[in-house]
Formats: sequence, C-alpha cells, structure tokens
Amino acid sequence: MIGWICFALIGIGTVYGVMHGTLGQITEELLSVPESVMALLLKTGGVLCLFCGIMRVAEAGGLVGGFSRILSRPLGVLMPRTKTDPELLACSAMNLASNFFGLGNAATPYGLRACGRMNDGTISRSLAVFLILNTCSVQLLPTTIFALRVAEGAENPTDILPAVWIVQGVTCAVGVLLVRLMVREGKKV
Amino acid sequence: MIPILILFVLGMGLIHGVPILSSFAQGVREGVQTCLRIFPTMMLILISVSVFRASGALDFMIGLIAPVCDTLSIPSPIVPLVLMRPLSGGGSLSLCSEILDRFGADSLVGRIACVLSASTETTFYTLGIYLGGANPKGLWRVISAALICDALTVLLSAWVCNLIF
Repeated sequence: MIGWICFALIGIGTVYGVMHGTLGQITEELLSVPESVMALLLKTGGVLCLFCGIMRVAEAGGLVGGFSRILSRPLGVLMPRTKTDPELLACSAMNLASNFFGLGNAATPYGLRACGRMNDGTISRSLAVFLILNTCSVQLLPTTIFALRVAEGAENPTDILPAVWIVQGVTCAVGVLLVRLMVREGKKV
Repeated sequence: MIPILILFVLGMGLIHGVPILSSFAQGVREGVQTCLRIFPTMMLILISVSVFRASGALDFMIGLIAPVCDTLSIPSPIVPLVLMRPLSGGGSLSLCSEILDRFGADSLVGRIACVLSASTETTFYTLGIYLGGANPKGLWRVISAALICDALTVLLSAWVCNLIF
C-alpha cells in the first residue's frame, strides 16, 4: 500500500514533469535526496540511539513498569491485545507517553517494537488504534513548534496551546471512533 | 528537561542495581538496528515526495484546492502546508517557518499554521516507518481514517483559531 502510494507520487510527478518540461529539476532534486536522507539518518539516528540506550536503563530500573500500570486500563479498552501481552502494553505505554510529553525521538523505538509485535499480516483493531493515535499526534507539549515560535519572535509562544489541545482532542476521538467502526479485532486476541 | 530526565533514569537504575553501561549499550545497539531497518523505507518515501514536489505537480494541486479551502474559511497561505504536512515533516516545518516569517508568529495565519503543525503528524511517513514497509491486509482502512483526521485537523485549526484569537 505504501509502495503504491510512492509509485503514484513518482508516476504523477514524472508524467507532470514530462508535460511541463521540469524533468531536469526532478532529476536534480531526486539525486540530492539520498544525501539528505543520509544526513537525516545521522542527525536523528544518533539521538534515537541515545534515547534507546536511556530507555533500556529506565526499563531495567523498573520505571517503564510504572507507566504501564498507570496506562494499562485505558489501553486495555483502546487496544484489546495489550491485556494479554505485557511487553506490548509496555511498548505502547512508553510510545504514547513519550509522544504526549513531546519526546518524539524516544517514542519511535517503542512504536516500532509495538507495531512489530502486532503486525501479523492483518490490521487488527489494536494495531489500527495504535497507528491512528500516532498519526493524529497526541501531544501535550508540541516542543518543535514552540521552538519555532520562539525563534520567530512570538510574544507568547505557548498561547496556541488551548487551540492545539481542542483540535487534538477532537481529531483523536474521531480517529479512534473511525477505526473502531472500520476495523474489527482479529480472531487472535 | 532532557538532562534531568537522563540523570533521573540513570540514578533510578543505579538504586535498583542495574548494570548501567551494559543496559545502555544494549539499547544503543538496538537503536542502530532500528536505524538500519527504517532507512530503506525512509529513502523511498522521501524520494517519492521529492519527485512529486520538484515536478510542480504539488503546486498544481495546491492551485486546484485553493478555491475549495477559501469557501471553508481556510486562508490560502496555509494551503501548501496542508498538502505537505502528511508527506514530509522537514518540508512542512520549513513551510510553517516561511509562513511565520511572512505574516508574523502572532498573526492569525501564523497561529493557524502552528496549531495545524502541532496537531497532526507526518501521516505517510509514520505509517511507512512503523510498518517497516510491510503491507498488512486492511491497511487502506487505517490510511483513509488517518487522512480523514488530517482533513478534520485542517478545518478545526482554522475554525478554532478564528474563534479564540
């Protein structure tokens, strides 16, 4: 599916480029991407590794267990599979908690582990809800945007927070409802 | 915030008798593996987006949906950001900062751009990376739900900002 989307983007882009004579620009841009992907990987990958290391220590020190216990009840309702899979519960809890506090880099490794445990060839309700919660961005403190607003000289960088919370709350609720209506939990729960 | 977090985690680890160095090293090793695993997907997604953008097809689509957005009271400077947001995190962040440059961080348009950016994630990128290029049955349901949410975010950002500010 992601493959098809990529194919469509490249297909539309190339055909449009042939029609409008922008093939040269496309080639130039295209060949600069691998370099910037490498740079992106080095930049975010380093931080990702740091957080993976810290989070391993946190897990061994029993901190993750605390988060899981707090979140186990709501997650059990949203993602039925966390009830029978403690590791999945821990990964999902840490992923959502990290996102919630604006630590996106810490969230990624947990998200990958949680999805790896749930992805068995079919989208289950648990996996669908987890993905929706990640694409809808449940963030109490959107740190990147704060930084940007500070840099751009906003008088009060955090004054957008109430609006952000309202928008996030509504879209997440709608998203979860939508996937609950569209996706059934698989037979294996 | 982050130094305190790291100190706290390491301290808790020491108190509970965790071998800090080997736990940390194990985590970092997993991090490196994670990077290698997401790299191919990242490459394909970012290349596809760059072709789409460099060809001018993205600008063409922006021109197409601008009038629709206008009737929904979404200001036209926001439109490029709306299309870029689900595709590329870096791209949409630079668009957002351009908008703030042009209109000011405390303008209505600037605020809508910020609320929009803060309330949604890079949908395709997140789905692609998290599923590791796998194609589970029924993925289209999740993608369509995610896109409906993205569209709803755009509408709500504009409306809520109009209401509050």
